[in-house]
Amino acid sequence: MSDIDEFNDDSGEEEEETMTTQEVLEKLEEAWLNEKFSPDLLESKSDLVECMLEQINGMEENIKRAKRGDFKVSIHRMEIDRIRYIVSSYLRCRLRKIENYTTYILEQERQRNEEDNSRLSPEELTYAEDYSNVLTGHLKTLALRHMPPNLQSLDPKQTVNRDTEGVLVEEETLDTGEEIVDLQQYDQHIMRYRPIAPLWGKTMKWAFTCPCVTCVNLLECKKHCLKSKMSMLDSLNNIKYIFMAIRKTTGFWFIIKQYNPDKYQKCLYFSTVIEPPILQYIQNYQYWGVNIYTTMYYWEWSRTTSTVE
Amino acid sequence: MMDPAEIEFLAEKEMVSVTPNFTQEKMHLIGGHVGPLNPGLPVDVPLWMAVNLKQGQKCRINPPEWMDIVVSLYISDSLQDKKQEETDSKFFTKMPSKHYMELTQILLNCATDDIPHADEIRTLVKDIWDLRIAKLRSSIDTFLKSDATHAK
Repeated sequence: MSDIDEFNDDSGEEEEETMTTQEVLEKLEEAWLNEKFSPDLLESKSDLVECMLEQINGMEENIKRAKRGDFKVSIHRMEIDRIRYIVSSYLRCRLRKIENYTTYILEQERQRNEEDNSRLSPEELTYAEDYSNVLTGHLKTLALRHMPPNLQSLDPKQTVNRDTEGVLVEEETLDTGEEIVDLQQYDQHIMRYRPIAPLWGKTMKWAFTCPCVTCVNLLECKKHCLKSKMSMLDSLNNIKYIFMAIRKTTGFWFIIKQYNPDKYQKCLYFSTVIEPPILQYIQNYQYWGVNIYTTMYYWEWSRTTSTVE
Repeated sequence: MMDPAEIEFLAEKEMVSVTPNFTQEKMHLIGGHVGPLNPGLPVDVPLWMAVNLKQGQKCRINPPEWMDIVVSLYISDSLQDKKQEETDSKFFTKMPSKHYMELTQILLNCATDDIPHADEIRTLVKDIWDLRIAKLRSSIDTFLKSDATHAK
């Protein structure tokens, strides 16, 4: 059993910074907790991780060599398990952050100076790049190649800036990677009127003529006349739709964008009340987009009109 | 972010005093040395090791000094005093150990026979915990409502 002890003492002295293994472990625990609680990816402490892994391997070898003096062996094994848990939890936490913020992290990595330390270890960098490639490839095959050629790019520059919120509702949003879509949706949650208010103004001129004869503009049509709305949707059958629903706590904004292959026309259709038949209709449509339809929520339907078929 | 198991994991690094009933020479763990174990002599070991030993019936756990309800002349900070202090103060008072809650839970679960007045201790610690949680809740509530940048 003395093998174990000797090994430990030696490796403690071999550390470059002459830290004892105990200190390395403490530093690693600190890094682990910091990584857990910080929303950002922190500097990679690969040296600590490597040191601990060496220790674990060494200890395991010793245990295998040592005779079955069970008590000490079991204690050492317990400690190895504990350390292994810390290391894997630390690495897993970092990987999770890398997966969530891939584009941003890779962008930062490209822009950093030579002197600053990298926040990613070499393996993590490879992982991030591969993951990013796989994800864009997947989105391309799934959705993007069906979209009009102009829009077949993934715009990595997604600002969650207040002023550009309104823009977020435009085409770019649909072409983004999953993580970015989430960000936007979240932001619009909080600042729901500000982006929508200018949008509303912007889109008035794009509105359709309302099929119901009394009003000029579909957007202004207060008659929740189901029949007319259904016919409106029917008439646009030859144009593909992309639907996106952004939830607002007092209702839904339905944003229908149409892509006429011959000429682009953006149209926005707002409804603050979702009539179930329309919801059903929309859901039955063929549409692409990333996870968009899964965010549709049902809100209460207030029956305000008479003609319901 | 952190589940109870992980918090327990962190608490298990605390040292507690045990009295082993067997002999063991000094052990060199990665996390530090654990001194030689001799029967009858108290020694400090990490909590995870202490629990393991206790479950193998290899030792007796000695409760930490603060885990006592009796107001004694020598130990000034018993749990009842702590509770009084916590009730009187507006902010958090200093607890005897960073992991007082986990220690109490774990020790009282596995070593009930070694700790005198286990039930009263459990009640007292729970009361202190409730007091602190209530303070935390009201403080966070005020903090969020008032739009301040930090709260004490």
